[in-house]
Amino acid sequence: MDIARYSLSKPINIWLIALCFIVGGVIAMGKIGRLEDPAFTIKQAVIFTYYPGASAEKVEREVTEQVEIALQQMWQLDKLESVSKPGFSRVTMEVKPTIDGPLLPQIWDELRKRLRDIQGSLPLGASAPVVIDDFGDVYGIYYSLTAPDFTAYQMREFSRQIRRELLAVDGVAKVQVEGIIEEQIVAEIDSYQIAGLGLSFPEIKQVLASNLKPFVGGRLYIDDKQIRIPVESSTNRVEEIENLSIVLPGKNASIKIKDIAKLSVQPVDIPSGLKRYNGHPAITLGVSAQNDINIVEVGEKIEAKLAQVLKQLPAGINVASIYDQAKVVEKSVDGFILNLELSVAVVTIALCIFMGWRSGIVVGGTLLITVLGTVLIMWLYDLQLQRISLGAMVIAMGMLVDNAIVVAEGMMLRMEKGKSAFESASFIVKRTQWPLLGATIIGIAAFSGIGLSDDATGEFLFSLYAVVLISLMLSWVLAVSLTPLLGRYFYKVGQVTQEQESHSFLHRGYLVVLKAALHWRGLTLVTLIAITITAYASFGLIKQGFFPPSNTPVFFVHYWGAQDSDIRATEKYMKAGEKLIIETQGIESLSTFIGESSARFTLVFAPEMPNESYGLYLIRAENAAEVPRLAKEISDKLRKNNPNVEYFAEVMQFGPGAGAKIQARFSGHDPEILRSLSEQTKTIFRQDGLIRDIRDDWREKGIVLIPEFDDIAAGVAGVSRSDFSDAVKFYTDGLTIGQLQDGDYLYPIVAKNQKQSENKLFGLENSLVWSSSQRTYIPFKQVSGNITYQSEELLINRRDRVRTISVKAEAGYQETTGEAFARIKPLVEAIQLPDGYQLEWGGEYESSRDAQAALGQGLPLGFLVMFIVSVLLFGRARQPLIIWLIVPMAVVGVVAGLLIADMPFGFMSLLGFLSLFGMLIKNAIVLLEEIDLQIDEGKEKAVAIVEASLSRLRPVSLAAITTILGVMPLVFDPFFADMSVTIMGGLAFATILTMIAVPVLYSIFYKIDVNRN
Amino acid sequence: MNRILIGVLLLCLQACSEQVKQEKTQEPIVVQLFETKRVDVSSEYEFPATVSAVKSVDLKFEVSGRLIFENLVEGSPVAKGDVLARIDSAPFERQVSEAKIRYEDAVRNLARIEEVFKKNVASQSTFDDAKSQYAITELALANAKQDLSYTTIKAPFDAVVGARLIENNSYISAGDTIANLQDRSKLYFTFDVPERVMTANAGNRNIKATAHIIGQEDNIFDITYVEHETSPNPITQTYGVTFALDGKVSNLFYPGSRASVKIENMSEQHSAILIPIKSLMGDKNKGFKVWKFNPEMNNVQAAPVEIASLQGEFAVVSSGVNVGDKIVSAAVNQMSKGLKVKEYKAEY
Repeated sequence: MDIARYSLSKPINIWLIALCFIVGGVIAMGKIGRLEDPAFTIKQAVIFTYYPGASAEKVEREVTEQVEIALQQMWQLDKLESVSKPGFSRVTMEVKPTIDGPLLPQIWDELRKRLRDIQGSLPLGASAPVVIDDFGDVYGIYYSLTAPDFTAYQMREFSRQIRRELLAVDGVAKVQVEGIIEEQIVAEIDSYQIAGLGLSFPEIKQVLASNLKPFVGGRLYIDDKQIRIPVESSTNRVEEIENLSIVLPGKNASIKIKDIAKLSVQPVDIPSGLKRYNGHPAITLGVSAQNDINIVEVGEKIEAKLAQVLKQLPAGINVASIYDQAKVVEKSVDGFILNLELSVAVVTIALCIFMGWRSGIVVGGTLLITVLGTVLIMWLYDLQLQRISLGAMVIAMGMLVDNAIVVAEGMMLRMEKGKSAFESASFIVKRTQWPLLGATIIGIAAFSGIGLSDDATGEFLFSLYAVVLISLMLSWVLAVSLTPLLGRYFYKVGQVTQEQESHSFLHRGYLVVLKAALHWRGLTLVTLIAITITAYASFGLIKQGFFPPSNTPVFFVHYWGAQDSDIRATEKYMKAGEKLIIETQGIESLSTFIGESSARFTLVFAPEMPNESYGLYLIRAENAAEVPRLAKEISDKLRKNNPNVEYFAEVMQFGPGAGAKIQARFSGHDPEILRSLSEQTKTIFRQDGLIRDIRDDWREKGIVLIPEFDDIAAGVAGVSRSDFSDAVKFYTDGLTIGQLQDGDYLYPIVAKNQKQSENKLFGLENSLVWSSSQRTYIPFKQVSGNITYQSEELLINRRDRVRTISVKAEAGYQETTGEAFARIKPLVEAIQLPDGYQLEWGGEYESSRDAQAALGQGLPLGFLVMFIVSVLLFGRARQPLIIWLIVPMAVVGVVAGLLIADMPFGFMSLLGFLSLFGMLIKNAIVLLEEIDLQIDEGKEKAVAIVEASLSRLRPVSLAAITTILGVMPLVFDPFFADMSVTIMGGLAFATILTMIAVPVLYSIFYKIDVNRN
Repeated sequence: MNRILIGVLLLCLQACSEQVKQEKTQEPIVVQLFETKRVDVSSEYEFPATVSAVKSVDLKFEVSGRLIFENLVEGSPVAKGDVLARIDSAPFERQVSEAKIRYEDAVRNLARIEEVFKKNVASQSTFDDAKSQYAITELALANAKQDLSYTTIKAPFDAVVGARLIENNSYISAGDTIANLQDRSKLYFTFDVPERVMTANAGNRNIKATAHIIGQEDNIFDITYVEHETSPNPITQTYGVTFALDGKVSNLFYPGSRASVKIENMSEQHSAILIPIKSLMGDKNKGFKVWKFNPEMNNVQAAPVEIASLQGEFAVVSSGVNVGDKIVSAAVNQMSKGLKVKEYKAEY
């Protein structure tokens, strides 16, 4: 098979392909979808069930348990977690990771069906379970609306209008409006007055209900026509309610509602969540775009629409962007494209300098067409430009150039020696095509473990694998077809046949070193091993960052009060904290979320579940570089200001944030035993001294106040539990007596006692209870004796149906989690567990174990492919052995590079590391092939080693230098920085390794003595 | 997914991490302490009451006639003996004159017949008739005079006119209520006391009671015990209890107003230990604990406490802490057994 000869003889075909790639690539560049993260389905559904009035334990027993049993029967279920709180149950279901995203809606359908089936067996008073399955939706364009001079009602109207308009924008899937100040109509009633009148709540409820609902009316049939007779319904105003009359029981007099109640519209006492922006109440609008769409374009359209809507609304409305994914994507993609262009330019220029402008054009041209072709194919296969696929392109860059350089360099040398273009091209391509293909496959196979695993990782990282696969295969195809063609146009056939090339200084220097190394090959080997071991040993010195901190200047401070704190307290303290933050220098904006987290505005941000004691500050700094300092300064300030609560600062990172790194999970039945186990574990953690942020997830118990219900006295007086409960509600947080629909908003009408003494408990104890059977008011004390005070569980967590308490902690500031974990693991495992109780380790320990299991399937296969290909290429055993002996040494350059640059080794460096394998193996293969070929051609073995090495020096070091220069611009991109340093450092050393270690190992394996001279 | 991504890294990292030792420092945490105090607490009750006057009398004429005079201004005070209303007395005066004539005639007739009877000319029966006639006419005269006096109504006691039900010049039938007089020398507060409160306080007179009228929350009066029912209301099982207020302030409000009565039980007064609710933490078996400061060791220890009641932001504890104990009153969830702490002293 002589591909080169074919392409040179039928250049038009090759040009056609190139043209397709160029034109198609340019078109694709404009049209390809752009996202922040790969579209990824979070395979979770959350089931909420309300059961007002029940304690956490009752909820767990009567609701959570039932829901869990129903879910347990689904084969798709992977994990089940639940939280039972007083009055509320939340079950989180995770579907098996092997199930594909498109199947999910069907699963959620089944889930709903199962929940419908159990609905009948749920206790009376429990709501129907609500399934939330759009949990992973990303509201990437996130606005806050503040209008300090307008009322809550007006703000609600504005947000409604804006939402309506935004929903009409092409490409917008959902607009989530949150933070609307919930309002209620409060009827302040003097209980003694209605007691005097003999009026009761049921009667007032009745009056409201029968006047505020919509009425049907009738219809007449007159003269073949239908005529509708509607009943005028209420105009739904507060005044209307005020003017409703109630007939006094037993009398013929009636009284108006306004005579017994003072009505007013007020914010609800216990809001479900509050949003604030720069210290003002705000409404947030989260826009989620349709899948697989160019978010940048949608973002522009939304912005235009928003400007248009705001023009029609009165001045004084401020819509600010909290997070703009479109801008982030635009910036990162544009930045990346610029880097890519820069890289291509740098590579081309480097080639021009080292190999002459002709080679620069030949290789640079191939590179450009490869990149464009890759983009075209990505577009055709619906792959988007996002973090992972962009990363893949950078990774592939190094390897892309390699193939072209090997071919171009070989062809150039041959033509310089006076051979024709045809002959040279054919020679070099025939000689290198299989080694190059093999090396390329090996490079691809290095990533197959990540890309082909059929679980979540596979789904998230699939584009990485796809892009590497496309670009590398393309680069090989183009290297063997297009490069010779370009070479034919640009390279000149040498006039003189130089017998002895004038070796450059570099060549001579290398020759001396190589000969020395070969001569003292034992020493060389020992030195290499020593260096490698040193590198491994000093790996611990490298900073460990998982995902690089984002260059978006945003960070979070989480607020956690005691679990039993009221949302009003959270609001109070959060507001106090706001002041401190706003006055800090270097803050651009502050968004405050009280009682619940912000929306998921980027895929990797996992919002906290609603909790009255939780709050979140989302702080945007003026400058990304200031973020770590500000995060520390602000959290210190907040902590000092309010030591009663906990503040955790979190810097936004590119990748997913993880929960606590150290987690010990105890599961069993008795909450007291679980708590005591947790307490023992916490003590162990505390005694360690270094471990910090120790907490558990059952949190504090709360106070419950139980007024006795005296059945006998209540029976005599005719007071039912419902009457009693009405009284308790009326005297505390208000009794809902009706609802008023106004437009799209439903106001609850809440009756409260007019005389609001500060001591509500006293008020309740001395209150009156309506007896519905005796139609009279009875003193509260008559039907209720003592009040008992108890503590109760507020959170009961279960995992896979067993009560589980997790003790969480973080490792000390200057150590890795692994070290901290190793210290405490034996101590915690020494705790005596009662029968039926279990300890399980979560956090990083579990992650790595899960990952091992997941990768256990993919990685070995990848390595097997790599190994088999390397054996097949040579058909011998020793050459592949040499290659695989060299591979572990690659770590040396990586460690050195990261240490010098003071960069952390993170996820992206790991990817760079994998790509390094590919490049290293490729160089080794080509060199070994060359040695073998030269020996086959009849050269003396010792000479062949030296000659072959010498002939590979230029392409190998050129490829290395160009790649190093190519990824250099990325050092300034925070996301790719550690990866580019890994590649640069690793490659620099890998080059030396290939050029010295491969010949040395070859000479050892084949027992070839090389004389120093 | 997150876990797997991180796990990938860990695979590479775990083997090759090196221990970095850091000095263990356990500096005592500065905590805010609260010194428990003994305070007097007494049980207190509040009841809705209605205000009533000591006496409330309806005024009625005993004779019929047309009203010619009334001095009944609602709400105005009247003194004992003041004329309040009068009906036209002319018919009654005429009746008196007529009775008088008949009486005088009977007197003369009796004198005559007695003369004749003494001479044994008239019979015994004639004489008896004349005597009877005399007595009857005498009575009729007295009746007529009394009816005449009934045309005027005078105030029977110092009182306030509560309500006037008639207009001047209207015809009044005997027995019609024309007005209501209230004796406001005292005002009564009547309210229902739940049976269990009644039982708990049977015979106890050591109480301090105050009342205020709804709408006048700032005017608080002392009231005193008057009487109580001894059998409960059959429906509500509560006992009616009456307290009284001296009439000096009676012009400030009126019978029928609604009032709120607060009763403090002085004999149940006892001293108790108050601790802030913030310092409480849930403990085993639905109980509570606080973190007690140990001044010798400078650390904290958990102490189970029992709550008797809540008073504002404080809890009354029945056991577990002693007076003078210092307990942690802030950031209790960050405490642990034996934790070294330092007391926070405010700078001012």
